[in-house]
Amino acid sequence: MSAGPNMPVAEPSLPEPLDSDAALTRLARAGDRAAWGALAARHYEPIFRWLWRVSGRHEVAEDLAQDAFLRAATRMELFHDGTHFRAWLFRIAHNLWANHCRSSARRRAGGLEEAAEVPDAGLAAIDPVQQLGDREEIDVLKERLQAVPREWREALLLRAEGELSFRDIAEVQGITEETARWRVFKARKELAAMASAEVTRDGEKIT
Amino acid sequence: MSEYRFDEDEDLAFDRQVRAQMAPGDPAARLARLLGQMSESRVEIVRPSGVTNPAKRAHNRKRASIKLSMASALLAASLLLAAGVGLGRVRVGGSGNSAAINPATTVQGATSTSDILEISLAKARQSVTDRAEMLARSGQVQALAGLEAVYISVAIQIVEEASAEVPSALRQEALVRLADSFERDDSRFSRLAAETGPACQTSLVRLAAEARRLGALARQRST
Repeated sequence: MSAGPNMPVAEPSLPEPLDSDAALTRLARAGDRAAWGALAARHYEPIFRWLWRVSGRHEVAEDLAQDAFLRAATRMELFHDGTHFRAWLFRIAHNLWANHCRSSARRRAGGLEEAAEVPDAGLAAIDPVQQLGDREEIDVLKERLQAVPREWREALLLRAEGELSFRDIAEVQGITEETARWRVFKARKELAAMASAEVTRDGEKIT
Repeated sequence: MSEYRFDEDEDLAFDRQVRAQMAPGDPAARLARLLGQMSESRVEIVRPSGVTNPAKRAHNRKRASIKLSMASALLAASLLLAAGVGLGRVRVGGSGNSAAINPATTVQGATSTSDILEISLAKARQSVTDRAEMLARSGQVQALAGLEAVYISVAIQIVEEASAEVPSALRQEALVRLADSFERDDSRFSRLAAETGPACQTSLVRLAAEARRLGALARQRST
């Protein structure tokens, strides 16, 4: 049987790996919790890390990352086959983060959130030996990132933590691909300028 | 064409450096908390009508010699692969034949399309413990914590699936073999915890405790 003039012709392709996101998302959409487990094992930590970097607070990051996965699990019918699953998850996480920022701003305006805004104490949960090695480096980067405009910071971290393409970053942030490139570029430039300033001030490179 | 100039090598180096930094908290515990949340009954995962046929799935599951669903086997495979553990072999074929195979050595599951997924889980479990030893001895704490989540998820899955099988001599033998395997893992993780530095001890002690618990569970269910 031949395809009609308007029918897409299927191209021969290699078999899809069983553990590919595409295979797992199809199972997940059919309600398979085990497939969700596999997807979570693969994508949860990058989502958490991105939220931790942008929020600077690990409790907030874990709450939002959980919400993102639970929301994705209950809305799988909205995910389109053939698109990038991790980017879709990041888009959900990004929306939740944006909502969180808006509601935090409202609460701050009403003087309601002061008690909740405490510095991130999450590293206390890390093994002390590692903590010694990582704490200073993390603090330096955290401080510098917080000085970068929020949208640039988010874009850079989508690239660095999420390993997303500029096209996916554009999708997540609802901007053009060129703007995504520009934001990541500006964020990197800002961070480089801060590092140079530290070198100039102290006479040696800090990180 | 972008007007922005990038030093790609430098950018990639920065990105790698960012990802290499330790995030707060325990990744394994964090993943376990998420999976716990997702398995709560109040979270109703969407199953659109017509996408799957529960009766057909049940029929196919019944046909499989060992009641390990394709999805469960896939989960095990995915988790192991995500942890960088090579599987002994993963084969997908078009044949609908299935033979009685001991789940402690090999597990088969039949999908709705009668494909057979064959995974050497025993070898994979062995690979996980080998990798845990390598990570512990080289002090790679974060990677070990990730492996901990994988081991626990896969191990409990194997025990639960084997336990769910209809009582038979095969089921009993499988559970006894699983119990033996987990007891060996317990000894190995405990020994490693004693031999390696304090950085990895927490994970190794937890792994040993989990292996011990699952060994006892498999032993109990085998009787």
